[in-house]
Amino acid sequence: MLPHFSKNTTDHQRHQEALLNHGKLYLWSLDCSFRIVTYNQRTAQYVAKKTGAEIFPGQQLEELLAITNPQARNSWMENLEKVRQKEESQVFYYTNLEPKRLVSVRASIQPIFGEKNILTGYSCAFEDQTKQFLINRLNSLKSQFKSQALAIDSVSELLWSITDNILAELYLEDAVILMLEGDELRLAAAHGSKRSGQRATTRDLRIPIDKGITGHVASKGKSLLVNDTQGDQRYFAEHFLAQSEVAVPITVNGQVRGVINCESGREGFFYDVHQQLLEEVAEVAAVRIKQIEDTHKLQELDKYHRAVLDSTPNGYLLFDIRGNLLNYNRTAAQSFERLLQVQLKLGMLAQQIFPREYLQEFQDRLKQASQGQMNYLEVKHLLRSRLALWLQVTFAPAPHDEGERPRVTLLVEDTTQLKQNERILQKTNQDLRKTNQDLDHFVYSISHNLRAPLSSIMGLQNLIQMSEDIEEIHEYTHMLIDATESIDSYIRNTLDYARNNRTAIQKKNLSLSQLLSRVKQKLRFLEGYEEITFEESWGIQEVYEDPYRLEIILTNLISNAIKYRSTERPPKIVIRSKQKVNRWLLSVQDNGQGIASEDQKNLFHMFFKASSQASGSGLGLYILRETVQSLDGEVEVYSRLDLGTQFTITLPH
Amino acid sequence: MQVLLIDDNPIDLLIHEKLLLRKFGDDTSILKSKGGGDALETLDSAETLPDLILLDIKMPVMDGFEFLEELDKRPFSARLKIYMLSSTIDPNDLLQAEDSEMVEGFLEKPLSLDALEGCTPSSP
Repeated sequence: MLPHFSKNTTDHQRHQEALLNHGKLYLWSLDCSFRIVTYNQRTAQYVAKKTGAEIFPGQQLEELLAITNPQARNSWMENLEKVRQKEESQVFYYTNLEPKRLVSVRASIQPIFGEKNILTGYSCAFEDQTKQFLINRLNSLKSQFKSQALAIDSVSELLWSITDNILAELYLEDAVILMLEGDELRLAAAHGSKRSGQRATTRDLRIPIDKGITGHVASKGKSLLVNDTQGDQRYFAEHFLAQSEVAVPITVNGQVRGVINCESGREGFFYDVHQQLLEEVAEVAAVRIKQIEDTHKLQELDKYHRAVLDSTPNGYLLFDIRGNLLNYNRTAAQSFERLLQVQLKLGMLAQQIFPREYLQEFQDRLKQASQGQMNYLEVKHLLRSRLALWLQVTFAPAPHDEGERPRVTLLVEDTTQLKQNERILQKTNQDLRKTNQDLDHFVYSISHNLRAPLSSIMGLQNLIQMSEDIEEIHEYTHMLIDATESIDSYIRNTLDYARNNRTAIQKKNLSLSQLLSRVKQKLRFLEGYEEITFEESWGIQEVYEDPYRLEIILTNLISNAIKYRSTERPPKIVIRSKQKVNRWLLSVQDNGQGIASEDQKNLFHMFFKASSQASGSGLGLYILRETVQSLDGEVEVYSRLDLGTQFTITLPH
Repeated sequence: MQVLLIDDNPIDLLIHEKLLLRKFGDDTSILKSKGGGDALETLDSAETLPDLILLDIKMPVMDGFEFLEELDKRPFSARLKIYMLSSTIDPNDLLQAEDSEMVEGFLEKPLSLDALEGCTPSSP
């Protein structure tokens, strides 16, 4: 329909035909002075909607266009002039990117010729290509953003990137991204009036989840395009009075996390392509947010795992079945560096890590473990210091997914200390066993040694009771005394032994000759004492030593020398002391029976008695050695059968 | 009737001699050895073997068991009747004495006439 023809003239008919031939949506024709001749109804509506102006016949086109924008006016006027001069058609484009006035137009002008081919006017047509322009533009923004988003690894940065690269490029006055926190949507990024800096928003905008179009979108999880906010009851002026609005939710894993909200002061500003673009951007954002959060969670988890792994004193290494190093902890790295001068790196091969001599063993055990059999390897590694380092390596099958190469974990533990402790424990156990045996032996021997004279005493009493011969009874009584003395001496010895073991060493300055006098005093009632000639030779008189223990030693040696004196010559005992470097010697020499060389090695054993003549307990020399050792000293014996014996004690200063 | 006493303790030798004389009569011949080695010498050189041997376990140099080991090598050992005696309470000694085929019985010190009751010589 072309209702606005002013006159049914031939020219008008020609204009009408020309416009119809154009076949375009918006049409008008001009006379030679660029005045409006005809136009269609649609064009009148479009002009009214976009500019608010009314189009009428006879109107100068330049005047009409002056209201819209200078770019449109200049484009039209320049191209009309070209057509007038060249008398041929022109096609041209213009785009206005100002917010509120965003428009993209493709226009064409054809000359209208009258009789004799005289130019009588212009037939004009134009299409509004704003939507197509937007589609192209939005598509390129979208693909740009998709690639950018991949490189972003923080949610906040992602939101600002959407703002800068999408929202700011949409010729909008205002656009915001709000993220859900509890029951409120809070401003996370903004373009336009709400932005105050590179990465800052003007104020803390909060919207309850059930308020306004944004709230509605957030609670329903569906995007919304409202091109006439005044007619929509959900509208609530969030920051400025918008005429049209589009809002899309950012939904991660089915949960609304935020809303992208764009507003325009112009009614009907948004096309469905806006909504589609924002929906797609929101989807890309959602995917990326999930990835970022997952990565973050993984990183956190990895951090915890590493913290655990790195804080243990053990080395962990993860290999696949081909010997590729997949993971290791700090201890492993440090140990390999220190012991083998190998710097571990992910992806290294076993042959780059282990010395050749360990490689075959490693591969065998790796294989065994990959088949599900955990196994252990003990490695003794000699350090440069020649010290042995003991390592226990556990090969354990590690979990892996189907289709992946089997994996094996190596746990490397330093067992050097453990080994040492084990050895100490073994030694201690051995000692304890021996002590227990000694103790058993000791108890039986003591009980025997006490019971033997006791049973003699009981036997003698029995004989005394039975006997009537006074001489006999006298003999038995004498024997009773001997047996009783034997018990007494035995108990004394045992006490000496116990005291030596239990009493703390208390050293003091003492005189050796005084000590000898005390010992002689004690032994003076011993059988045979009166026969002995004593000789003293003091190379050192005063010593710093434990007097109690020294007395045990001297008493033991002198009483032995008296007991085992020879009956074939006058018995003599020589006591000497000698000063040496850092130590001193005490020796007791006799001219007694002597000790057979085969008996000398057992001399210091507990309860050893070399001769059947010996009346002693078998403890004396054992106690002597124990006492000397408790003073960090040594005892030596030199003896010849039938010539005599010399005991030499060496003690430290 | 001949008895061999083997003991390192001279008092015990005397006690045992007196008790045996009381039990078997004054005409009993008592031989005394101070140790295993001494006893072996006595046995090796004896014209007739003793009818009874009382053997102490705990003796220095050669104890009762070592003596039995040495005795075992001699062909006449099977004809001897041996009682072991000791004041020991070591259960191992008792077990070892019981295990020995040569030992007739085990007597505890101090010996008494009652204890010698079941102790009989090898030949009547």
